[in-house]
Amino acid sequence: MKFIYFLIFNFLVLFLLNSCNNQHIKTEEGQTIPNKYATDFEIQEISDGYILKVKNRFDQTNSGTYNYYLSYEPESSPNSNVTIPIPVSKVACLSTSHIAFISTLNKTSSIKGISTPELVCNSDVSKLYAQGKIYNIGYDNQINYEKIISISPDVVFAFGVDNTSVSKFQKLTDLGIPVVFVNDFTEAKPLGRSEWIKFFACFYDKLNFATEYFDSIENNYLNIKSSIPQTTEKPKVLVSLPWKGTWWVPGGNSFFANFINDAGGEYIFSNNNHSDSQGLNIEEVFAKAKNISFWLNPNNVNTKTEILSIDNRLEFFEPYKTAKIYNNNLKENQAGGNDFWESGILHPDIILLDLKTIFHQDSTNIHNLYYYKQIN
Amino acid sequence: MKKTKLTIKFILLSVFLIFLGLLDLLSGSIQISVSDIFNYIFSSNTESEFYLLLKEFRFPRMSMAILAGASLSISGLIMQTLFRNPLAGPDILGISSGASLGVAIVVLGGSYLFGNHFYHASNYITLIAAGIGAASILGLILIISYKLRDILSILIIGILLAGIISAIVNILQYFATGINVKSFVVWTMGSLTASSSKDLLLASPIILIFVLLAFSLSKNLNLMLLGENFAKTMGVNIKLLRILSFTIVSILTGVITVYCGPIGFVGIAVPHISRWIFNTSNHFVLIPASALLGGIFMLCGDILSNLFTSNGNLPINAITAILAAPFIIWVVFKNKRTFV
Repeated sequence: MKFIYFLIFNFLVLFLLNSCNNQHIKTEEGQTIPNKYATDFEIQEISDGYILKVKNRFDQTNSGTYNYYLSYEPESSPNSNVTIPIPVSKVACLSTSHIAFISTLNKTSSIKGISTPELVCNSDVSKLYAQGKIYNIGYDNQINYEKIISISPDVVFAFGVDNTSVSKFQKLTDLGIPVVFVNDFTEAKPLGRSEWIKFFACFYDKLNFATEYFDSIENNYLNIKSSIPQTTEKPKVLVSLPWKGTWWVPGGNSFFANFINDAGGEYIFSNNNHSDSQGLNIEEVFAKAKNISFWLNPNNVNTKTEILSIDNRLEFFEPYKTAKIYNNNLKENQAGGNDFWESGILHPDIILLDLKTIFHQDSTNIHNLYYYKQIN
Repeated sequence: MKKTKLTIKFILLSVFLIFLGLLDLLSGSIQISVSDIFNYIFSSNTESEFYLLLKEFRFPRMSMAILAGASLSISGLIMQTLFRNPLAGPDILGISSGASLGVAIVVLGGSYLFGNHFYHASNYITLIAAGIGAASILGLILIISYKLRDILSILIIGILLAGIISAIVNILQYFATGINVKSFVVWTMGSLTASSSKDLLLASPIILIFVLLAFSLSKNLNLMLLGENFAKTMGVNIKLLRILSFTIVSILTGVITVYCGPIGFVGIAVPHISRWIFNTSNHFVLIPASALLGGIFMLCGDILSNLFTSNGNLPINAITAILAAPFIIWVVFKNKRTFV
């Protein structure tokens, strides 16, 4: 009887050890390259490549982190669930921001598949798509798996919204096509989003280039920020438009709220601690929106009349009558693709300069707005 | 004696409606007092802090709740009488689905069909699209009702039409981008807060006219309860009655769907509550009773939606379903005689 217990005990120990072993992608721990602003990814440099860790705020399983092992010598690397040979030469992107990162690394030619090509603002990519050198791989529920398989990319850059988006790509992973979740959009700091260029650079072995590029953007950003006049009374800023009685506003800790703060403005919902959008009752916004100086990003409207066509009560809205309205859709294409959300991710310095020009028009700076235009 | 009882019930319900209306005006994200409301009503001081809030938000929301409740309940009552089916409602003919299809085409497919700038979710475009969608289905139903004599066949065709439309909407959703799907889903949740005083001025005369028209059909609807053949022998023009009834139901449902989104269950539940409270099948009583109780029902829903969240964003469609569905089940089990 004791022998049977002994056998069961040994079996359990072996089973547990085996389970633990399977959970680790790689036992080797590399040197972590610290980020300056980004919080949702980590790069570890190891002898034959990199280990990339991506925090997924929407997925509480898998410890909320995805690990990717990038190797120059994948054949000699230890067994791993996700091993990606680098440098990559063929990639597919599911977000236009991915295109911006890759083209900044001068690797546009590696892009073979994109989502919603009509929304892409990058002219090189649009040209390649028109020439049939880049394919439409679909989006959301319409992912064209067969097209992706036919392209056979070294990696598919996706974005994780929730657990279903993770399971959606399991098919590709099973077929040996690595899927990497890029959650740059969860970063709350404008420079944090730009810093994801380092993440992309690891796939192309261009980390030094990316670091230098990011440092220059950071310098520009900080210089612009420090040049902003410090006034005791900051201009009050309102953002967005209502839809069917609900006004979706960025949280007080969001990406755009941080932009407003850095540009010397006072976001009227800054006391809200959320980093994602919040749906507010329209009457709450009406009551709060007093003495507003600037109204920014009213969806994709181009005129004040279009604002009224969304909700005719905005005619009585104080900011509609008194505030200056600016929208970030100056670089919008015919299909509604907005370059603010594409190349803008890598140009927070230009966005900040636009906002500085808008908020502090009395200052001596002469800058033609790049992403913004006034709505009249 | 019977008449006095009836009058008392109507007076009590009217008082309750006014009380709930006042309560609804008080509920919302911004705290206001009863004196603010009376100041607004009697002094019309445009400089008052809450003037705009009451004029453009609270009053349109409260009025739209009453109008929606009344319209949908009367529509449901007419449908139940016409189809002699206790579970018939205004959305059974596919009219709400037609409005949904119109909105789905604009919101989900607009950017493909007309380019992004057309799409841009203009409220007017959404309203027109919903109106055209509802009217198209109404036209179709009228043609079918002219060709088909059997009322049950029309009911089945209505359900099938709703199914086809729902499939088309699903396809549109499948091809739409996330943000457009979100806009559409928000619309389908129903909202009383989206209406302005201008919308109210436009919607209320139409609703009032068709509610009065519905009331004028009371005698014929009463005769229909005794069967189509009996009604015919009593001189009722069945075809005309059907066309008029469908027009009333479609316009009332269509207008409410256009302004508030598709609101379910009210049209099915409230006529049963009316029959239960007034213990009658007489449409001269049931039509005004359904209008009053429908208003009360929707006001309760709106007050609850404002109680549950600080920013009053709970979708009204969800609240009405939660309130009405158990009541329908309860009516089915406890009081079978309330059925037509």
